[in-house]
Parts: sequence; structure tokens; C-alpha cells
Amino acid sequence: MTGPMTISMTRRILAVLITAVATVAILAGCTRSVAGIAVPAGPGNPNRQENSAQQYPNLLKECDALDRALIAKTVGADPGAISNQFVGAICRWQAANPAGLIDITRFWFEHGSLDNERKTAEKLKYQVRNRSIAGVDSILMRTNDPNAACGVASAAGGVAGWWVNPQRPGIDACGQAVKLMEMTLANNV
Amino acid sequence: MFAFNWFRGSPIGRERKTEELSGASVTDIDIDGHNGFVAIRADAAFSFYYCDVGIQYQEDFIDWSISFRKKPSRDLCDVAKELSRQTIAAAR
Repeated sequence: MTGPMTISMTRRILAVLITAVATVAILAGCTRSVAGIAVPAGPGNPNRQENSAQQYPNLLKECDALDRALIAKTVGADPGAISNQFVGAICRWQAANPAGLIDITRFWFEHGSLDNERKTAEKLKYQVRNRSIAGVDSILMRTNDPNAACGVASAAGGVAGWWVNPQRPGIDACGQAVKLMEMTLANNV
Repeated sequence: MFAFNWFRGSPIGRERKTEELSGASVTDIDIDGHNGFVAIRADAAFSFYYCDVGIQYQEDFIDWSISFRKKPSRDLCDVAKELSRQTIAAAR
């Protein structure tokens, strides 16, 4: 869900800043088009959208797991140079690193699994590498794009992770994504 | 702004509820046999026009979110629905 900064008092403090060019390249939790590769999640959720009647703990707070100033600092941006663009089980921000804008995505799929994320990444032909982050089974994913976007997924709370998508080359996106995940796991997912 | 989101193992109800809490008008939708929701917000005072379509697809759901700062010439929901339809078709 997105919204304008001008109505940030509506609890969903959102801005609409992703450009069409940028967003076409950005995918939920991943970063590419989904054409032809939709993959069933692991355990899934049998109740599906009937769940809107359910109470979700921490609804509208999913993106507050890490302070946004901390997210900005982690990607080399001024703590104030970040805007939140999408809220929910997928959170998006855009931050201004001096070298260029960086799109940041956090995802948390409570019924998902690390195994499903790995399979999805492999289908998308990302480079996938196993890695332990803060003692939690994780994978590192690279898209092979010129700007060296990088994502991380960890087996925590279903599956949770981060993507860092620089809009210019020369950013250590993997290092930043791992750092964001480390801080998330330190807090809790 | 256009955003595509693919939720793998996350309940669509969470996002639907989030839209409702954010002041959107939310209704049911069916696209080629796939259930979902359409969330609309239009606020001329804040120059904000928004439509979000979430569609269950097998165990996942996909979401197209479109927003404009100026009143768009086309119905944003028509565009979001068409993008959703094409995404589902391409995923087959």
C-alpha cells in the first residue's frame, strides 16, 4: 500500500517516490518480473483473503522493525534522506546515498520459507549462496544487473529478508543487505 | 508510481486490512477465476490518486499498486486490473 507524505498523519507514513523506471525493476522481495515463474509457497495459508477479518498483531508496524534513520545510515545515506513508499509484509524505502538513489525492500512472509525463496531466486536465475547470518540459516542473492543489486533471506518468522537495489554501480549492496538483516535479527523479525 | 509486489507465503488479508485501515475503499474482485481485492483512494486535496489490486495466485498473491500526484486521464484501477490480468496470464 502506498500513500502520499502529505497525509502521513494517517498512520501509514508513505511517500510515492519510486519512479516508474525504478519500480519496473523492483519486485516484491525480489527484483525482477514474475512472468512465468510464480511458485507456490511452502505451507501456505488456507484461509487466504478471508483473513482480512482477522486481527493481525502489529498491523501497520511491519516496517518499523528497524528505525528508518538506521536503514538510511546503513546504505550510506543521510538519516533524513529516506522515504517510506510501501507498507505491509513488504516494505519499501528509497534513500539518497551520495553515489545515487538506493531502493530498499524488506519482506516478511510469515507462511513462507527460506527453501521457497531459494527456489524462487534460482528460477529467476539469481546467483544464490548459502550463508549464516547471526547464526540463522540464510541465503545471499545477486541479480547480475549492472548496479549489483543484492538480497538476503533468512529462515526467521517464516522467512524474512532485505533487498538493496542501487540505481548506480559502485555500491556494496550485499554488505548493506547483510547488515540490515543482522540488525533485524538482533531486534527480532 | 507503479509498483509490483509478489508475496510468497503472506496472507492477502493482511494487505487488505492494511488498505482498509489506511482509508481506502476496498471491494472484492475476480480476475480470470482468481479472487482478490481492489483498494481505491482519491484525495484531490492532497493531490493523491491511488489504486491497488491484490490477487490470490495459488499459495501466493500479487499486488499492483499505482499512484499519481495529478488526476490521471485513465481510471487507475482499470490499469491495475489489466496489469494483474496480464501478470496472471504470463505466470501460467
